[in-house]
Amino acid sequence: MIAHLVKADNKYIDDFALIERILQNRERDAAYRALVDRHKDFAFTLAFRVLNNREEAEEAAQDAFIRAFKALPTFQNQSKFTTWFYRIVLNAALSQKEKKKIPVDELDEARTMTGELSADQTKAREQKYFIQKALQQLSPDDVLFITLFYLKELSMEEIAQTTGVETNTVKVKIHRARKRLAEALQNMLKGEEKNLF
Amino acid sequence: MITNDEILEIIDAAASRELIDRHRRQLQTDADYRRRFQFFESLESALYELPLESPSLRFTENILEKLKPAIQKTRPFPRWFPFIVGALCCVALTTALFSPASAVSADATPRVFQYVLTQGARLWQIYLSALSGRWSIYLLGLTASAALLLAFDQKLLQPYFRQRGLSIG
Repeated sequence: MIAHLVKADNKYIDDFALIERILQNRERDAAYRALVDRHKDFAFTLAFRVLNNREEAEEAAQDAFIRAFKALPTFQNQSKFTTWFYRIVLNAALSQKEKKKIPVDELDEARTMTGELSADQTKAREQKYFIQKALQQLSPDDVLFITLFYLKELSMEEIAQTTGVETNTVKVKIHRARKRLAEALQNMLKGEEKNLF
Repeated sequence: MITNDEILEIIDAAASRELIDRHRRQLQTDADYRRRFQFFESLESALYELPLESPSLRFTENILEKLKPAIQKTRPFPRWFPFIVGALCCVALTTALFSPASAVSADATPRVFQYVLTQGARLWQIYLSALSGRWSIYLLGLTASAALLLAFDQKLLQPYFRQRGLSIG
């Protein structure tokens, strides 16, 4: 719960209170800023996992924030802001992916970046590289379920609300996506995965 | 032979007693299975440890800049504007109903209207005489200072702190 709160003047302000401020036009700019700062990393990560391109992901995430803010008067307080908002991020990323066929080359660039790293850091970076490579081979649906599941921001029920499917179906989809990811890595690394992971 | 699906069940702690027994036996006897299981386990923790990506430093500013025209477009009037218009309409309607012109048959209505006018004029005189008093001048001075301080805060202080990222966020 603490992750969803912000400290201001010794008071914690949750998402709903910030939305109230925006709708009532009280310290509106500061409330917008607080909401963006709080959720930008997750929104960007979600878009990045779908698009595999930082520039496009940033555009999609910004677009999602603007769409969400414009639609705030229609936001029903029945669900968490994030559940509603991540759905918007997902739609923005998917429509961006539809619009432009994005070349995939950023991962190789990131991998070859030089710098002094310990053995553990190198291994973690290699793992991240191959996981992202493997994610690229999966469908956007699989990527979405894996991202929502492992970032641990949402419960199964909230993932179901975000993606618009039944909770039981979510469990099945996550299970299948994880299996496909592991198999994609196995195929990609051809036996080497046991040394890397 | 334990399948990948079954390995995921074991990792999720959703495996049956029978599967867990098989898993334990294979871990001890089958080196290939042991490596495969370790791979799934390590992949699981690597996925949990994948960091959140961060957008560019200008991300928030870009959104707020893009948002400004949209806000101005969607809200041309302040929130209380419809209420003020409603109240003015009510006053206009009431005045029209009780005005001497509309009260042709009712003798009492013009008198009511005249009474309201006389009382209004009396109140206005009291107000003007109160304004010329010493305490009224102090009060006006205080109000003006408060208004100036408010304007200073909104136009200078708040933008200054906002620029340096010192906001409620």
